[in-house]
Amino acid sequence: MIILGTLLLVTAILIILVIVISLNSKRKFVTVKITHWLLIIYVGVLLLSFPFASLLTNDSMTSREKVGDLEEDQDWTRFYTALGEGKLEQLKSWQLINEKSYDYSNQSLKVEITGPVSPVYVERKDRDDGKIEALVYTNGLIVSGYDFSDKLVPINFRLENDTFSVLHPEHQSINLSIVRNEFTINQFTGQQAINDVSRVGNMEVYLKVPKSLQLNGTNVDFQYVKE
Amino acid sequence: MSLKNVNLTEVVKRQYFFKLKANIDAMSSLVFLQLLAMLFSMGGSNSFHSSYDQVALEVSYFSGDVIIGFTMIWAFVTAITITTRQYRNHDFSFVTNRLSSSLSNILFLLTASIIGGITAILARNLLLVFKYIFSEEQIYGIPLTFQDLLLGVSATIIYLFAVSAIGYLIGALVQISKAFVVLIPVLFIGMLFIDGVMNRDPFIAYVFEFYVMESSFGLFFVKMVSTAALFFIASISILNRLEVRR
Repeated sequence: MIILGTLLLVTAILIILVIVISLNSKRKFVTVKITHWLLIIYVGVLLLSFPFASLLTNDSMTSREKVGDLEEDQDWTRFYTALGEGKLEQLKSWQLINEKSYDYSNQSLKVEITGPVSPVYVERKDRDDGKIEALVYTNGLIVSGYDFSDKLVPINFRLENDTFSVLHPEHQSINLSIVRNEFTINQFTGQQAINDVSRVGNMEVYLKVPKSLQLNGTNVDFQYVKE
Repeated sequence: MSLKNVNLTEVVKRQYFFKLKANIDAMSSLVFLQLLAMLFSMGGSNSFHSSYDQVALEVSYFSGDVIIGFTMIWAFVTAITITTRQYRNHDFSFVTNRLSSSLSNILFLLTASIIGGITAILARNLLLVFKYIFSEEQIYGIPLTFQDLLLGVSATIIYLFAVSAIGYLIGALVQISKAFVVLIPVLFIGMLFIDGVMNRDPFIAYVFEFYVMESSFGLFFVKMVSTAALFFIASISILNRLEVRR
């Protein structure tokens, strides 16, 4: 790509050189009208913008995680099945967007949620290790096959006295500008012609709690796994 | 009466170069239309919006699709324009016949399609530069590969050439009778209307499927070029029926 950009840049410089030489030469070998000028300048600008545009987009996308092509509903099912059955090893590392650990040795804990009511997946550990592990998983924010989960402000946690708070962020707006190939290219490469947002960044809370810890909370939908 | 014998190739070549010079102003309108299309594309060629409890996602897609669309309109209008009497009378500066005139017109339209195709694909980059300058937003994208660039330019040229063939045929029909100015849009809209009334897929959907959904470049090339050739042959036949000069 750099070679192509350089080639185009060299071509643009050559065109400019030809114009300059033809203007300075006593014997004009090109008769230039205003329209010629317009066209030459326009093509020159287009050629110059090519390497610049490549620099603008270079690596901004390819450095991101490329997500395999899965049917949307198939992927949705896999995500929630993995959480519901506590099979976290089936989820990808990029799907874990927040991870906190708290020391807690009391027998009961009140859980409260600020923000939209959503299920809290709870896994009881095999032993009472006095630690609460709070995890936030996302099914991803996938656009054009690339993961943009880092744009999400994850759900956060707070432990005060005997109350564990699940703090949803304020309603967040994410704006992305994506460059896509023209339909005359996509027609042959098979890239989706219309929108290609496959996942919109759903977040779920997963708690790993000591074996004997009793959780309680009003308006909290506890989903116990591995029980 | 000229005593000098000239062959067809020579006449076509002369007329072609003459038309390149005479119709150079068409290129100004190409530049203007592509810049206008860039302006329309600044907010994105299309966008996706999704909102739920936690996240509102807005994705704006940037591509040269609108620019290609505008370039197609330009190719269509240019093809119609060169069939008008004023432009046809240019040919009488040369020893000419209808065939040589049409062949040089086709060569001119091919050249225009090549220029239009290359600039339309490259214009996406200028759009991105404008977008960056005016909004300073991070733009995400995969850099265009040389293969994709070649594919895009070739396919766009073929599209433009086919569209100009349609324009040339319509222009030729209008030269026979001005009634076609009304008849062609009425036929087109009427067919869409009838398809709607009869509750079946519009014919344009089949045309779209046949050409635009073709994923093999080889087949696409054959389909488009043969269709364009048929349209040009029809146009030549129609224009040959016109009087020598009227």
